[in-house]
Amino acid sequence: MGIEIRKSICRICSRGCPIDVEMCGDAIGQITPSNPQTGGQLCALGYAYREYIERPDRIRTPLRRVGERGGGEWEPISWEEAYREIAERLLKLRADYGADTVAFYTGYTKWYRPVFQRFVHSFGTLNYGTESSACHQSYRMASELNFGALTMPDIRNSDLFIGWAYNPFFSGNSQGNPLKDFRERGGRVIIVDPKYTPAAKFADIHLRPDPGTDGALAHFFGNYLIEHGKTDADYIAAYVHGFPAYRRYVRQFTLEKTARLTNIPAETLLAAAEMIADSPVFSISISGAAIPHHRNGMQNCRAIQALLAITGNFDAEGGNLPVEYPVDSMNLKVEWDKFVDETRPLSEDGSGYQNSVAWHRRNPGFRTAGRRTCKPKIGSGRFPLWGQIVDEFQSMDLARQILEGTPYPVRAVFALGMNRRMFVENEKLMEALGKLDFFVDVDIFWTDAAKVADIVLPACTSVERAELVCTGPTVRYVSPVIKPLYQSKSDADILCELADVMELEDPLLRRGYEAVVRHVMMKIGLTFDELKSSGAATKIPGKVPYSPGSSLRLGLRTPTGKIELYSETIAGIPEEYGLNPLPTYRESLPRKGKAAYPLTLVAGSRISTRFHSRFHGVRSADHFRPAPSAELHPADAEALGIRQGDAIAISTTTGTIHVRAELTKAAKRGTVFMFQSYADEADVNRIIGRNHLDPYSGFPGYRSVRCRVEVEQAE
Amino acid sequence: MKIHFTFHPERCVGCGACVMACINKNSIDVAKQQPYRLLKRNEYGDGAALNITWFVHGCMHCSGHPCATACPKGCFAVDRETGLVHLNNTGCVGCRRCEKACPFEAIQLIGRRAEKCNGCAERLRRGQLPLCVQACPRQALTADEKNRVVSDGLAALQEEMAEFLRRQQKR
Repeated sequence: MGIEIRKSICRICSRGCPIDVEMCGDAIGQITPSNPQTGGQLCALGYAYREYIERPDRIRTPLRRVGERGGGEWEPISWEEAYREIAERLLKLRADYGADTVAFYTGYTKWYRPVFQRFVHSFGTLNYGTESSACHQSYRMASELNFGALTMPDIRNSDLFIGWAYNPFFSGNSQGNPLKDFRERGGRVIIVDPKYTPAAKFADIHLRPDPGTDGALAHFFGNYLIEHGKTDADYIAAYVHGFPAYRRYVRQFTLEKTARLTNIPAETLLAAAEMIADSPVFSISISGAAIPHHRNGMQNCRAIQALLAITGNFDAEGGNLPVEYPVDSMNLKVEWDKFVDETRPLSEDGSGYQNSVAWHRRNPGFRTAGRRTCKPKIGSGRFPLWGQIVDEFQSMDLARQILEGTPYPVRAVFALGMNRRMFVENEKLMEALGKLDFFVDVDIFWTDAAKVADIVLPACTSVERAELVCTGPTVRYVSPVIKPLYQSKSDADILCELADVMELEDPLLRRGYEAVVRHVMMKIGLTFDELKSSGAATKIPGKVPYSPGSSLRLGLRTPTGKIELYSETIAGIPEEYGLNPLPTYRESLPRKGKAAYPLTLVAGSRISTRFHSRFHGVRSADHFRPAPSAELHPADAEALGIRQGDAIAISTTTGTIHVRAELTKAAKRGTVFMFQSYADEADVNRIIGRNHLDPYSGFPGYRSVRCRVEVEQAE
Repeated sequence: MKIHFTFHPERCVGCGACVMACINKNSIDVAKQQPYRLLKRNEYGDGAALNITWFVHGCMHCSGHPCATACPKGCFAVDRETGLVHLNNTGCVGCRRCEKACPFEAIQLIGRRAEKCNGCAERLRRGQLPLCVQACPRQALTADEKNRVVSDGLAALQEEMAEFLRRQQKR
């Protein structure tokens, strides 16, 4: 008998690398990358995918809480019973208090999000929130405000590449990276990262600013380029709004001041500035997590992007190119956006995403007549800029709204994959969840949030379900490799089946995931049946490649149609919020507390063998880092009497965690790097204050927190 | 084709894919034993001059096979077709001579018997690469005939390895 190989994708992270699953009868065996001969790769995590799928703490059956919430007593129930109870409770809450009294939330996995968001809209609210309240969206906001679109570095045509917190070796290592080839062709590289990572090996200059000072560093470069006549005056005159105000603002970022703010030697700053000035064509990659994870993170992203604007490197070959296009034939894709909008309600006060310029440019045919109205989504009052340009609620305000009941009470949460550990000062979240009338959590594993739910539903992994995968210009329909383990189901199936039991006014969603997929791919010129039978990634026919410069020519999706260094969107936010339309810099660390908390804690720094909390319980990951450990520079450790492996306490004004010391010079002196998502006593996000947030985006300032480190027990 | 493993330190970024692949391929319980590939880190200099390098070691299926020479019980055999160094530990008496003789710290005692990498022999027979080699996204670990263990001799890589281990900081 030969070995049977079935094709699927890995969904530990969102990249969806194609995998070959070796079958042992009906069970899965070795998992390896598809097409290794043509460069197919997996990262370290992917090789442990089977272990992840078979984690011993998988939720096996729908369960109803018995006794106290969080008491750990459950009774198994059938799917029908679970759906019926959830439907009754949610519909009753809607009838009594309105749809907005339910908050719908999803954790990391992204593949089913459009289905979920449509479900939420069909239920009648805009209270759809995700973990993107702390990932990517802040970077997206910066891109929207400046350029009206996300961008990608066109590194193949650059003279210089600036990787701002760029470490493709620890995330997405399977997908190759361009640095080696780029360098061999003579390209120059600047890496900006307080930490030493493998990317530093490819750098001509590695700048190591103190965490969160990126905006100051960018403004220094901006000022240097202006002073040395290295900007593109014609481009600025034609396409940039607010340049004079920007020029005046950045003048204060002198060499001496920036060296002090960033803690980078002046000569290194100068060498980097000269290299940029000497490279007319450059592109920049900005980490969507590391750079925004500061209290000034969104503005720091804008400050970095401003360098592209003043040198003519946005929407030009070798610079950064928009990835959302002004012409329909360039945008040809599966119509998830439209699918989400079809049942969208409108915010009754006229606030929110659907009233933004970007929204209307993107959806010229969107009809407002005949739509239901609902309350402004959670967090809109506290983070109005987020509320206006992001199509999700700001979940960093969820616990507060549940506990305080303002501006209106939230009485229930329906969540998929809620990870407590992502939230700062997350005891507050647990307290809030404990106060709810009704809490449902769908998850693959027994997370802390699942443990306090009223009803828990078991979800399955990517090899156990069907999924429409959209990657760049291709689409692929992946069929299940095995039947769902235990009683688990696909998240998308759960949502469609629940919509049916609830009799939501959404006939399409009620028909199920396959009907939804057929609907969203109607316009791409491929049939569902051909995709399903081939199972292969298939190119969308007729998609026109982007030609650089056309976005600028046709007008950007910003209020002025130009690159906005002075953001008219921010200028429209009421003054009392104190938001500045220029990409201003302020320190991300709190002003006070340096004496008692002399070090800077960076929460969330990646390691290559874990991902969020997903590898807790995967035993092979323990080989690499057996105990939760904080990375410290040996010199800092010595001053504190700490040796490799010692038990240490890290304290902030919010609390203390207990971990091990991992000494490495990769950590910049004065900083402490800690991986996130560990359980209680090692959960670093627990000791970050719940108001340590970026006022523009609501993002937590995970990566610049004042802390103190003490030795507890020598190894 | 004769298979030897080669490690190219200048290409390694320390991601651990080779080790993770080895653990899962061989269903290794990391609480009880080491994987057959191990990843180590060295740090040279500091600040702007900092250079961090990684080293992956394990059985290189080298042509010198000092393990075979050292074993008093004849547990080792060189596969005629592939050149892989096979260990059949049925007769192993746990004397640790092979462990001491191996310059790559590739042999460990599990219980009282020596154990090491088998080169993913069954994959090779199917025309596939050993899984750790397959797993490396940067070709830092290769399996081929014209490798340095053969061309430069065992001594060069051995010396590099020894130098690396000497530099492993006492932390």
